[in-house]
Amino acid sequence: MLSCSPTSTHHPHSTSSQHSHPQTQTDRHPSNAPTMASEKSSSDLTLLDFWVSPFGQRVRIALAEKSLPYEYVEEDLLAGKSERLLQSNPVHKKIPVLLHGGKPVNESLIIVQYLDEAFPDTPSLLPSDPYARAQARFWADYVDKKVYDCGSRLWKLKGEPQAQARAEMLEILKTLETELGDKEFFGGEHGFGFVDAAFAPFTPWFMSYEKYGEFKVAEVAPKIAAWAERVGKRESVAKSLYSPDKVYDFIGVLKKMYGIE
Amino acid sequence: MAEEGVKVVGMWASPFVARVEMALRLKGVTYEYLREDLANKSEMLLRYNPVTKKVPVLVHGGKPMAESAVIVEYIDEVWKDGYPIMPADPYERAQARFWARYADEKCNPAIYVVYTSAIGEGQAKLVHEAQECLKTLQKALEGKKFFGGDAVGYLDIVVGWYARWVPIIEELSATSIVTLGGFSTSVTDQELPMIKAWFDRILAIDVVRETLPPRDKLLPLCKPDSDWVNLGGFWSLVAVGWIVSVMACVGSSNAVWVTAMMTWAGVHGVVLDGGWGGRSRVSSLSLTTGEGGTPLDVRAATLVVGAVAHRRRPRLECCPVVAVARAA
Repeated sequence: MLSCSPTSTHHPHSTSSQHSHPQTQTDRHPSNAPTMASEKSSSDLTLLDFWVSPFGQRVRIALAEKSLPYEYVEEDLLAGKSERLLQSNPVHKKIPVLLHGGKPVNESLIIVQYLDEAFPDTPSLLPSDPYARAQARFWADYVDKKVYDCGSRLWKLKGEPQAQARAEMLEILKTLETELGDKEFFGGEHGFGFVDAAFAPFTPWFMSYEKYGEFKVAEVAPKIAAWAERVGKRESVAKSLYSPDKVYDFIGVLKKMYGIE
Repeated sequence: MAEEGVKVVGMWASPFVARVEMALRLKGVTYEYLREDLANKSEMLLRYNPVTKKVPVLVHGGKPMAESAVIVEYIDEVWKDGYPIMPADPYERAQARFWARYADEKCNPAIYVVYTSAIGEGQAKLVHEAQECLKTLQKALEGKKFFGGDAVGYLDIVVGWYARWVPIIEELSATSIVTLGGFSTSVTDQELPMIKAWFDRILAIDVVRETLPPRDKLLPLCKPDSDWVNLGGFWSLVAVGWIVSVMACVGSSNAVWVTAMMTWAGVHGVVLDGGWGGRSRVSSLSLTTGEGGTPLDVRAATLVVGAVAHRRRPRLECCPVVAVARAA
């Protein structure tokens, strides 16, 4: 896990737009490949993103898996949305946005598929067999529709609605557990794949879900917990995600912003 | 790949099932259709799709898959030498997927909400929002015959069902979302000519027309249970002049408004008291002929009839119901 922000971004709580290195930075910076996520690079890929966004992280993971150089641009969403973001994604006004030769691609899973198709000589995240692809798309879509929304309700709500969100979250984890089964990755024979990239960014959020929902992933879905640990060690994932503590703190910031107790 | 054992588990009125059938038919793939009763889901469906338990499910060589948009891409990949569904260029593919998702996540709910809306002031805002969604979606259509370009493509398959459902919703909810005509409660009273033209073009495609549920079967299904507003049936009633029966809450603003509309249109009738709250059935129609049987042209009749419809939603305290029959 990263213990600090990527080099080309600023810490979300600072007002400086320069590189700023928060106290917790270690000397050995995990994303230490300057040709990757820091300078404007020769491939014309730019990623508009927000440090803790699991959706943005999917794209970072995919880009890392493919060893594709790109310019990372941190959008300070808590301060407002940049002109470039609003122009690149006028419909949703959301990150992540991938700009390829200036042309925007939006929606994290769509971006990941685009990267597979636009860079066919790089390791692909979707498998080649059509049926396996259909399964991968189904499950990535399932993660997409369920995890973030349910998780948000878990930390936003209280009482009965929160209990409902908790029950749903357990259901989601158990369903994913069944799908994972005894595979090392959701991608099965393909290895680390589309669904792994789709779900991995949520693993640092488990701790927060556990705290708010009062359960343990390791008890409810032990295979998912083991998978989370495995996947967290993978280089592309490790350098894209933040620690569970950082995520927990971020949720705290959001709650204050929304005026939630 | 051979067409061995292609099955579609579906339901005739599902737009999502229609997507899958459209894709298969465009490819010329023969398939077995397994009819599902959604009120009483089969063990087979639950086995094939335990996660969402929904139709459509495509089964190919014994292997099941779910989610219509996913299935359509699968069909395109497996029968890749057939009719091209997805665009070839990766950027165009990303755009097609983006708009498909936009349609499903934003347009569908916006349109559905108009369908279930109560007739009245609040409805105008909902219609406007549905229009805004469709206007945004329209960006993917600009300058082209179809979303797919010169021919039907992925996005046309994904949203093609609007061409059948939206006009029905307009009729049942007495709104003009796309088609300007009759009574409109839209804020801007704006029509969407580009979308309307696309509706006409897409319905002219044989495969699309054959796959979408026929209007005369779909309309009664979409209508809330209201035997007495079976306009198709009433048109065949033979009587002198105009026979109008209106059930409404006497004294309610809706009843006042309906009566005013009837007067304006020169339609004579009687208002039956439907009472407040809930719904009460009118089992027999009260017949009245107009003074001198004032003839009405069809458009005016549509105006009055289209303006009111029985709403399904129980929370609506008063439902004006109009049945109109025309003299043969």
